[in-house]
Amino acid sequence: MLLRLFVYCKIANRKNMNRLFVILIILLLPGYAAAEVLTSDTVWSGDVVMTEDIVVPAGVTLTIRSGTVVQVLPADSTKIDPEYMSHRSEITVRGTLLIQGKTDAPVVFAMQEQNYLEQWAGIIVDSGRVELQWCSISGAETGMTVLQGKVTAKHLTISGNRYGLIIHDAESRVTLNDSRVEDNDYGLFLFRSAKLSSRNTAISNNHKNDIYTAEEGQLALVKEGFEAAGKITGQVYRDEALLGVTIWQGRILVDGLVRLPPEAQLLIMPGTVIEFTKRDTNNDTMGENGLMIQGRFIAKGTKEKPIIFRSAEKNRARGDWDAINILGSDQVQNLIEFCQIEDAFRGLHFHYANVAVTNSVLRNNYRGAQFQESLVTMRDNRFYDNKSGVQARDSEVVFERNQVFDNQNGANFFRLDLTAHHNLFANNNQDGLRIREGVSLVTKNQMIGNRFGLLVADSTYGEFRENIVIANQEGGLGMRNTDHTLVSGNVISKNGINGINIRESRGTIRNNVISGNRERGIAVISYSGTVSENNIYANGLYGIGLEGSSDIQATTNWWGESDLAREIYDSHDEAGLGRVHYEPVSEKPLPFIWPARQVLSDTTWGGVIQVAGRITVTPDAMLEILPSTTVKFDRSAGLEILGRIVARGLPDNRISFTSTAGQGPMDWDEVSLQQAGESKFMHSDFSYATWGIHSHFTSLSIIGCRFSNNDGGIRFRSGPLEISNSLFTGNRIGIRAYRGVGQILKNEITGNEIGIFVREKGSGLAIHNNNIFGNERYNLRLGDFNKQDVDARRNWWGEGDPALTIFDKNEESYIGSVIFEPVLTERVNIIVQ
Amino acid sequence: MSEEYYPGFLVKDSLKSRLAGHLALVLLVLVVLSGLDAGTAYGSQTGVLEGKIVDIAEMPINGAELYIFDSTDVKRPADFISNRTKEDGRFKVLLPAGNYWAVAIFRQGGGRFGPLASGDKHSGEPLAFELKAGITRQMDFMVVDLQEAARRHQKKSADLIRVSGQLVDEKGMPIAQAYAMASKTEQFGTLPEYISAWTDVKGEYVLYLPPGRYYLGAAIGFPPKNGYILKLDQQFVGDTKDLNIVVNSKNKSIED
Repeated sequence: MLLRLFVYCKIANRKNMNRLFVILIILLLPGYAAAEVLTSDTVWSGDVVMTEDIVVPAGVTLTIRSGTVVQVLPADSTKIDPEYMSHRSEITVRGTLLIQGKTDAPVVFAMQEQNYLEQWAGIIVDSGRVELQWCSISGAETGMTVLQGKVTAKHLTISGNRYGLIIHDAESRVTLNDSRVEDNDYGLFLFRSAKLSSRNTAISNNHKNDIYTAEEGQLALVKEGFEAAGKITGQVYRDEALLGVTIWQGRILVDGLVRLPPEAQLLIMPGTVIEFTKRDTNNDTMGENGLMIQGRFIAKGTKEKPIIFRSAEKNRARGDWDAINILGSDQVQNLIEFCQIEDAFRGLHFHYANVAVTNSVLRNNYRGAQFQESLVTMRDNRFYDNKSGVQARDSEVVFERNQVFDNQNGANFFRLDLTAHHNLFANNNQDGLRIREGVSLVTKNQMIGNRFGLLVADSTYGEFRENIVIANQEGGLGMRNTDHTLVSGNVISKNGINGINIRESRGTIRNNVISGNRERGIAVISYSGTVSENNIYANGLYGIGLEGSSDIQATTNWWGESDLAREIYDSHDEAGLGRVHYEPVSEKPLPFIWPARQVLSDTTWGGVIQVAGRITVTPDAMLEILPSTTVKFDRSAGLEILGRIVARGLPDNRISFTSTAGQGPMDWDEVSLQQAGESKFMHSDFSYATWGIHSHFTSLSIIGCRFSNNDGGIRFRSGPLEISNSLFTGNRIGIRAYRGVGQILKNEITGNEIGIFVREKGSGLAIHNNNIFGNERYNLRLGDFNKQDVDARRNWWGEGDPALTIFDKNEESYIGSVIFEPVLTERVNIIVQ
Repeated sequence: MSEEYYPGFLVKDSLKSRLAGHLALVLLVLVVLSGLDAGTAYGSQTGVLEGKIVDIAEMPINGAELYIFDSTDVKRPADFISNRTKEDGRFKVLLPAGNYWAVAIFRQGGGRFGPLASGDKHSGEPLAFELKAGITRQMDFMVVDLQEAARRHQKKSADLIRVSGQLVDEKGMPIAQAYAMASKTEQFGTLPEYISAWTDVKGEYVLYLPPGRYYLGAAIGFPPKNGYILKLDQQFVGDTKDLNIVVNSKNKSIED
């Protein structure tokens, strides 16, 4: 077999003949096959066997002659080197790939053995350039993936892959002419506003989906780094070993590989800048200078004086230097704190080490951090703009409050004892968090805007609780070959295709919100476990879609207002499928405690949502509340809207904001709006609040709402605000305006201690056609600081003299007047519904 | 799967009727009590699997069961389930001749189906066996808490202990941006042998130490000033929680 492979390998230049000999030697070593970074221009022709990955780096061209057949050996390895994009065999193009097929002698990429669909990753264009003609690609997980690259193709056939063509990013330039993308599971995927130019090209007859355009769902996250202090380089280090205790401060230049042997210590002082020159002796484009720590490493920066590790090159680039390697140092805890690590091949790299990494920034590296067999704490770090954020295996890891965003891959954990909580995994091109094997406790994280939010595979035991998995472009949570897995208290919403994908797994899926996913809430190929007590509603196609022949148990779920026949796709819809056992169902929504304190992306609430603390809707996010929703607040809990809120109740399906206790005013705090854009409350009821709504500098509409039994109904500053067709009753103050600009029209304001209180600058108010009557102290009171007159003409004030129910200049000479005449002589017909 | 009935706890399809299970269990018990050769009583194509289910200390488990599958896919309802063990941990199940995969499971809550809960025990990877007709085969199983077992498999700094608590001010309020230190001596050179990461707003610190006697303290500035004295003198033999250390914020010295 090996000999046959050798015979098939025809590589053109002499240098590669030498390499071929090396490959043969490598192939003869059992269980080992080397991946390869091409270091010079290379030509392939004839039959080529690809045993593992090929990287075409920047500045290098791989030319494939007409008639070449590239056969890929299946390799589902656990390759962890950062320059490779996939764990499967791949051709990654950062330089140039020229494919020169002819009509009668095309270039063919295929698996060497049949029935190995998805066993190679395909061609990945990673900021490189591809020109091709007469070529076919098959048998891959993705025929071609384009990440900010340029592809010009004629007569390209992509078929027999799981995904045909995936294009990320609007900056990618892909042109297909006279080509076909067909007979794949999925044809064309476009992420992040990517576009395809094509002429005379068919994208059709793909099994599940021909063209899928992902919706925009990325978070706008701040990439704030640290600034380097000082410019004068102090000490220069070359290939050398540091003995005893070494202290670095100021500017350090590393022009080699600096070693720290066992028993030695390197202490880096706050504010130090360490720069590494680029040395690339093997022409693989990756720098080799770095630190090799076997002793004790303390890099303890501070917020004011961070420590910076970066390239010394004029044009700093990813991969200019190697890594901070910490090897065999687990008898003390090494510290990396308030550090910024950039331009490296692997920013941090540990084996058999005990390390804490806190408050640090790892950016623009091929890989931010990589470790194995280590004891690692990572807290309050930011990993961004890396090819992969963090990758780890066989370690005990505490991963808390980190942000892993805008990387190609987010976090990839293999066989860990993992505790991960309060992290954000966002906008990663591939996976937000990927977990394989090991024991995982994953709680209160947010996975937003990744291609896949959370993937769990081959795990025997794990708990995934109270996470937010929203707006991931293709899938939310994926479970494959997992057992005894608990998925509980999570929000799995608005994901691109399916909320949850399950295959060959068993577990408990309980008390989650699974809503608003573009196709299926839960897609099941095979699952032996339970799906119970979840709120599953408003998913595009089905709540649960079975794709396999086994039955599943899915009782006591709430399915929204939808017809169950629509929510479930099983043997009733297609012969050969299993059956979803859904009875009994929950007739009412199941109370759900919202698990996060921050709403970071557009989010929808439905059913019964319990708010246990103060939840903030951040400036770029919108909280939408569906008709019939009840929001229950625990004591002192509330909402802070810095983005936008739209509560769109209906007359017959009102929204309720009330307390969990249901005892009386001030049970809960308030819905606070601060510059909250175009917010709206329609047909919503507020009760038992300190203030139902407290609005500052917000354009706000309140229509058809009821405010009752609150300490205050609405207080607002600025505006513009419109309150109409609403009821205020049983509150200490119905409406309180402070420098307010707004219209208060056609409302019923009665039974409060004070109906309307204008504290200051009331000249921006228009109060008309309301029924303002029967309030205990005043129907309308001006505050001591209000010098302006207030326009309150054409209201109905009840029986008797309106002036007696108004507190203004007549009572305090230094304040303004309420202009209430003319008055309405008849009660306005107001129906609050 | 044949529709034929076997006194091994036959679980047919996904419905897994408890009633059927109990009936099967009763019949199995009857077979065992009657002392009949099970293969003879139920035809020539059956065999018997028997053995013991023990815990990690090799003590018999009371209340465990053996789940038997006719394929390597064990993440599904079992095809057969043994009797629930008594104090002696023994099980005995009559099966059609064939190839099987078995796992032993102990559920604290006593249920029979679905995924395991925390504290339940499992024998791990399924054990494959072939059962021939008319043969009684002996197999023992050890069950462990899977979560514990899996965690034990991971990297641990077994020879270090974990000392943790809060750094607090004189009023007991947590101190952020401080760190704990430990040394074999009250005074040290540039740095003590062990220092923690910066604390967060909760003031929480962790030190990893070899067991032994240490002087502990905490500081706000880094590195600690010359002449700092670590005052908290304590012997550590195992992981220690809730050991709070007071940081004197006025002069940034270190006190216990």
